[in-house]
Amino acid sequence: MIDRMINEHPVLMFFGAFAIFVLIIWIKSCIDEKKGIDSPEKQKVKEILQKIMQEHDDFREYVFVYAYRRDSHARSVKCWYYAIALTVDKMYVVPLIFGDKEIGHSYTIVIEKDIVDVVETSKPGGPMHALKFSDGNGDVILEITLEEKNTKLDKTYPVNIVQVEETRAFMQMLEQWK
Amino acid sequence: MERKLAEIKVEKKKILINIAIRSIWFLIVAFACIINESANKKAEIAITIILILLLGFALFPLIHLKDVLVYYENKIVLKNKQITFNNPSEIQWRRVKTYFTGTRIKINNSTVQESFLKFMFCSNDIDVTYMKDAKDTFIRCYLNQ
Repeated sequence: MIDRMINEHPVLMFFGAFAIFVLIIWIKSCIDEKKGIDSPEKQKVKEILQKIMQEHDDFREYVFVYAYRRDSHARSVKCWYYAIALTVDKMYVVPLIFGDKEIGHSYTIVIEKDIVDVVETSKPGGPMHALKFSDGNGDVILEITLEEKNTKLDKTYPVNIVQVEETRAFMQMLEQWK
Repeated sequence: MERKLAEIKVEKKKILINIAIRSIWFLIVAFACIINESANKKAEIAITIILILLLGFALFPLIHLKDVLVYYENKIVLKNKQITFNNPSEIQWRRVKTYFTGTRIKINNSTVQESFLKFMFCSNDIDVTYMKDAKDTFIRCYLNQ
């Protein structure tokens, strides 16, 4: 029966298979979004930043987010992942490393507001923000992508972290850095 | 004498998966031979040689069966290859997609200046594709401290 349908309506069958594929991806991302609201990865990022803030004796109010940078060239993709805590005058950037089960972090980079001359952001309001921090000489200090909803797609998107409120608070606080 | 932090052995399942991926080429050629039977003696010999080479290619991962990856305080060693580092954050993990052997996982020291030849032949890289929980163990040994 399927053979007959493929022979009689090949284009229809192709689009049907494509629609089913899109539907599966959509259902998966919906499930991942629900998981991401309070996922173990989000908790771990929170814990790492709490620890870092205590190590730096900074007990002020901060906003935390997860961000990444992705460079694609032909068949190779380079990704960097960060946990970021933003205060009024300091930004703590913690590079993250994702294993199959473990999440690791290396040394924290502290960026002070005084050395940041230009903060470039994409248009406000969207779910994704491209951010670029440059110093007085025009050198890029940090370039990141901040998303409200991060879901696992492949190995280069390793976490389910939904951070809608955190992202908005981060962008609001970032206005003071401009 | 440097302190040994961990010793990682090969995960046999990963080797079997890689052999299965590599065997696809052997199976395609073998299947093509069965379908198109050739009476030509020279062609038969050529196909037999190709099949032997493809079989060798498919079974090649077996030479890594006894490999051991060792994490020391300031270096990582796999067989006769080693990477030294001052800070664990210098170690870069890469996933390299290849056409014939699946995705490879490689590590290198990102701060080392490498020559063009070394870059082309990836001789500064250590391939940890078959090792069991190499990255998780790396995180436990060197990071989060």
